[in-house]
Amino acid sequence: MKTGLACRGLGVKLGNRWVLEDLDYTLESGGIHGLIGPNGAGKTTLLRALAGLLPLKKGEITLDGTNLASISRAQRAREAGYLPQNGSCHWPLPVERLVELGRIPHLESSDILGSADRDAVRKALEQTDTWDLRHRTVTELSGGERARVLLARVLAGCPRVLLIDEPLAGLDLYHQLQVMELLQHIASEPGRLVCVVMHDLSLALRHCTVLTLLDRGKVLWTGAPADLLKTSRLDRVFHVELQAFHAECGPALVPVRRLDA
Amino acid sequence: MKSGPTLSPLKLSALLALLLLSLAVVSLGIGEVFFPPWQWPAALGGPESAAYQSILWDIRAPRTALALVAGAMLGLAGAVLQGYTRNPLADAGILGITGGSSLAAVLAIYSGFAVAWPLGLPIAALGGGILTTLLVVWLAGRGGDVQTLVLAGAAVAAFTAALTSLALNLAPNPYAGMEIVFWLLGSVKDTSWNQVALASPFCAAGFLLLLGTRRGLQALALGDDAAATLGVNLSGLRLRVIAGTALAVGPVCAAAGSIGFVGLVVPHLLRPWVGHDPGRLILPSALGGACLVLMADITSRLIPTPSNEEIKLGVLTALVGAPFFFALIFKMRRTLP
Repeated sequence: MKTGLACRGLGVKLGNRWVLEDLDYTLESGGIHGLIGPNGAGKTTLLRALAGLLPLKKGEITLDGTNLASISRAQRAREAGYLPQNGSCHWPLPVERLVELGRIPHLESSDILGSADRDAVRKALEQTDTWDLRHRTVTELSGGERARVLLARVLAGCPRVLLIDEPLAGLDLYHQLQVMELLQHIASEPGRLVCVVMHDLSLALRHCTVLTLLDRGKVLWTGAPADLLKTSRLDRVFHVELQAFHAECGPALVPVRRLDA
Repeated sequence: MKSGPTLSPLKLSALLALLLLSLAVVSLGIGEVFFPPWQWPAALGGPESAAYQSILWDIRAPRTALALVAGAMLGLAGAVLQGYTRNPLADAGILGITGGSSLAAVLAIYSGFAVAWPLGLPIAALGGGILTTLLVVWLAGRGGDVQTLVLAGAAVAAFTAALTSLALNLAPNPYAGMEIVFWLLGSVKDTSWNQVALASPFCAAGFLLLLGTRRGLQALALGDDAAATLGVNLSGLRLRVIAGTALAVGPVCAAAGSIGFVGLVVPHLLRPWVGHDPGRLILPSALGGACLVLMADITSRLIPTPSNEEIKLGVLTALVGAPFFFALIFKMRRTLP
């Protein structure tokens, strides 16, 4: 049986515009799969489609060979966790309560948590370095603290598939590394599928196992990070001249100047 | 800063239920005849038992029951709608349902239908509520998104308010106009058991539907997308919210007129005590709403007025509600940077 989350001939329309057109993509286990590309390339749309949030105009998405649309809502919620971009919380909930909401797919009644649920919440708080924040009010946290708490919410559900949109936005350097290492650790567990939308190409090169370059709703390139630098497409896709430095920890990409189209 | 004091939802509900029970007893004991519970056994067993029984059972009990049901439904719907729209200013009025009920009731008074048949008014109001709900559902479309629903509700509410004003404007004589205005002010005075019996089954169904939104409202705190990936059926939740609100609030509006501010204020008051959790707020808000309306109704019987006409319930709840809003604004100003 085919394992992984795959889409074939995917077409998604938002309004009158095709945001994704005839797109093939496969998310497999073993390491982080990074989605990169300029603004408006369709990274978030692809991630939302994989999360089952969008109606598909064309093609299909399968999880382990089963059509995603035929899997029940509840089952899907247990299998896949999705972290939206710039997530927020609408009520001033205590941090711990917010992370507990990540257990909703596993609960009979959304208020009664068993010991397994409590363990998962505790682990998620510890992994994201937010254990000490657990009694604070989420709306009073800094942007970076809130981003980590929202990530903890997704991790608390212990989903096999993690779909994460720009987890590094607003994080300081320390916590950027911490989140990437944490995702790498999770992605190394057998059977886990981890797809992350990233803007920092250097961190993507260092921490991802597979990178997929999107542009204008299509997959331009996919492969191992080490091979990405060999393609000359990056400059043209991002409209920026990029310079690569080879540090001890891995390659670093620095934007030099804008290229006008 | 730590989050504020919280009670377990069960403890809070138990406290509110206790308060509600005592208020209900007070409500049965107070009126033109002061009749406290310790006199009940003697009076009901005494020579004038029929008169006392009539005061308790035919006059005060249905009034108390309606105040309780009305408050519970308004508080409940307010909590659910605030959680659903994630807007602390929402209440049952934003879906246009109370506006539709009021309009139909006004038309029933206007046309004389209300006089011709004792239950004509509540049944017309109920029908008006259902019709406007269908209109809102049709306008908002099939999707699951909150914005279009709020817009549709606001549009329908504005339209029914305009038609209600038109009816007042064209009222054939000042008495009809007065009657319409008094009805719009909201009251549980002179309630009959028939009215309570007519409203109760609908309210019970609405109550159950709205209680079931708990999990959905909690997930929605994280936004639509996150809620959907947590397994919430957004269009199903929306239908449940609309149908539940229509069933719970429509009959209340039909029996007691429009009682404002309860659905707005009660969830606000109780929210800090449940740690701002929109799901845990639902049941306490129902109990708190019942307490508030009972309190207001008891107060309306105690305040002397020059005309000897009781102050209308809707006036009292608004009188209490508006200053509460002032306090809320001051509090918000303090917490803003």
